[in-house]
Amino acid sequence: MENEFLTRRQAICFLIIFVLGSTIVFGVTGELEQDAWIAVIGGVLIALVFSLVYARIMKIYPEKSLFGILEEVFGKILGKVLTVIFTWYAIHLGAAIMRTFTDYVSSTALPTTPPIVIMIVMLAVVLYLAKSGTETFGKWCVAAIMIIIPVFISVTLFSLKGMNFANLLPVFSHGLGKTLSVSYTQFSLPFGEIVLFLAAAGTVRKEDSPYRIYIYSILLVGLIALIVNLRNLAVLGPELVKESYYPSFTTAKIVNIGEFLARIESLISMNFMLAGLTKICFCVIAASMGTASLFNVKKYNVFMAPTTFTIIALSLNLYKNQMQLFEFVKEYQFYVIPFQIILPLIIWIAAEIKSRIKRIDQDKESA
Amino acid sequence: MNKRIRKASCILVSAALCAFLCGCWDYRGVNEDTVVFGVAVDKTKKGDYHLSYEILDLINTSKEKGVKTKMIESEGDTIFEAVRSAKKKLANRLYFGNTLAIVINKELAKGEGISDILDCFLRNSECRETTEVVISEGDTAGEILSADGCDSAIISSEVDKIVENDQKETGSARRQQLYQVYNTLTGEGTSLGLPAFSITLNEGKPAAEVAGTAVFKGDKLQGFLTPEDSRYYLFVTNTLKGGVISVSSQESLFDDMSLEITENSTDTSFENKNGVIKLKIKTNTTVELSETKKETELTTGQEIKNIQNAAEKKIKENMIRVIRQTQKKYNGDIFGFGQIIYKKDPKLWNKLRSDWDRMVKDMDIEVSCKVTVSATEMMMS
Repeated sequence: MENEFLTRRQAICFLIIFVLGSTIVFGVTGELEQDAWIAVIGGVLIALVFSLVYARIMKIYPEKSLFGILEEVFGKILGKVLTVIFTWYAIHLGAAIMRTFTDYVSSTALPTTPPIVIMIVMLAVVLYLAKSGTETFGKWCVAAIMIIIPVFISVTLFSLKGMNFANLLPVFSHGLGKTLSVSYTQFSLPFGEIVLFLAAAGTVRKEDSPYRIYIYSILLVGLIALIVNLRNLAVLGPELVKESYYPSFTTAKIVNIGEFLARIESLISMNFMLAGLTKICFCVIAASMGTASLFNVKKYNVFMAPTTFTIIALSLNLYKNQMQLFEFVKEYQFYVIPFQIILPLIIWIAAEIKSRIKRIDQDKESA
Repeated sequence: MNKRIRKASCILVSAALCAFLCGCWDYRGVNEDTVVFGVAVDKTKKGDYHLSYEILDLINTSKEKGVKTKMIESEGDTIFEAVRSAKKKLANRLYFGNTLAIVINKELAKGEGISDILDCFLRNSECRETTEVVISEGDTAGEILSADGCDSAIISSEVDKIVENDQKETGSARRQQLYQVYNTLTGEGTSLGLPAFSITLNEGKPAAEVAGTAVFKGDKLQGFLTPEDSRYYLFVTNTLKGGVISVSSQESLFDDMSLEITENSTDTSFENKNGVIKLKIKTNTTVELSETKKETELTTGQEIKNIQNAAEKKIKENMIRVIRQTQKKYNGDIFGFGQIIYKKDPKLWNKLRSDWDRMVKDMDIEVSCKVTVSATEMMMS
């Protein structure tokens, strides 16, 4: 397992899917109404700043995973505590995505199927994918994006007819403060979630610049998210975007070209399924990596099945209903501050100091 | 040995996978659903909702007789309760995924408003957001759906097609699909105008016909515009794409010429002079002369100019008349003038919002119309 690497292309594809996993279905930009797309740009900008931090951590300790870095920088005990925290983040994120996914499937396609069945079927695939190893996962990401992007483009083109750009007016009417705060919300979900990629930092080769990977993927996915947002606003109008759980799905429902090209909302579902699978799969991988490093086990594969089951159990019990899940999304932005902002900053600073000290020591020894 | 276990487990897994292949969990066959084409919402004397659904009549539909539809009726305290209680007398569940039109009773729209009704249909994941919403001008909404279709076996489909093409062909009602209705109801500075339908006689049998526009304030119905007046409503809101204007030539007292609109664009702007707001409406219409009684040389520039002038005058006068009448009578802003201000200057709108309904009534409105006759079709004179 140690020697498996992602190519740069695979890493970028992965990050794009990872972020899209939640944006493609719901946008939590309701408060800003027709200015929601500005918040997306804001979110991307904040994400760019923090991705520099994440990338720098990767640069200091190349080919090392987050949990390895934590132990090296903070020592055994503190390192393990932080490992637990990040493992929890991965498991919780996986469970939340899982829950979003099942709720979505239940309310749009399979109302009478028990959620547990949807979860098990889905997680069987996730487990299989996770067990197949990093290389397969990387290839899967490239293959999935070949479906996701064309579907996204075609839905956008089909909905051109129904677009009314007057829906976007008046521009920037919500004031700077509100726009900034929603921009931050946009950063925390989905862009900030890329912090989890640090767990897989060990699979990125030394030669591939982590800066390039992060910045490329954020710009690309930011563009997609921006277009999705503008499209939904132009088709549905700000009032309906604000009120609907799954604006992209509703947008696709409205598409009707020449009587025969209608009801393409299943395409949106397909996209979400692909992106959701990949995202949950990575959460499983990251969480089992964390657990493995916690117990000093070399092979993290053995922890995948238990992690998956933890995710099922957690996602069933985290929220009582759909409303609570979406209510939590509002609090999510505060909940993730330690994972996305504070801890990465601390790790970065500590890593800088530690690596300097190490270099000085090395210099002394060689001298 | 190991190979054998492997083989056995392969067979076992394949067998297990077969269980998934035989169908989906939420399988529902077409024969288990009764497809609803249209819903009419009325109120009973007791105060319950009375819903009528137009469904395909599978008993009487045959190759020789063609498609037949029939009505199913049910009652309930709420819309959804009524929908489900229809199952009491049906073998199949009603399926709303193909519902084309929702017809609402005018008394219901006046008394309780239409928000509740629309919410139920918009919330349900089965219904389409593109369903047409229309108001029945007659006594009940059910009578629209129980009329016979003139050239379509399914009356809901006919209503859907009428509404869909009206702006292009006759210009007497504005199409508002379910999601657009929601946006208009919740949007800033605008009120709703929905297509109204009434029953007329065709060959002695009842037939559904567009009866102009139902004017709303908030979600409550205020009254109706005639089809003729509705055309000018479409003019003002820049939603007119076709229709006929009849004008009179200079010597005649009666309208003796028909102009068919091929293109129209209306641009509404406003001017804010020290807090005094003036609305400016500019229309630009292209028409074709489709009918005339008078024998004149239409190729001469002067004659065409006269026709254009007459049409311009007529459009202008009628637009002002319809705007003023509607404002006075119904107290709402179905023309969406407030929204125009909101879109261009949200700060100004915030100041005006509270007093808008009163203000818009005495607002200065400047209308300028331009009509171009682009063709006289196949005849020169």
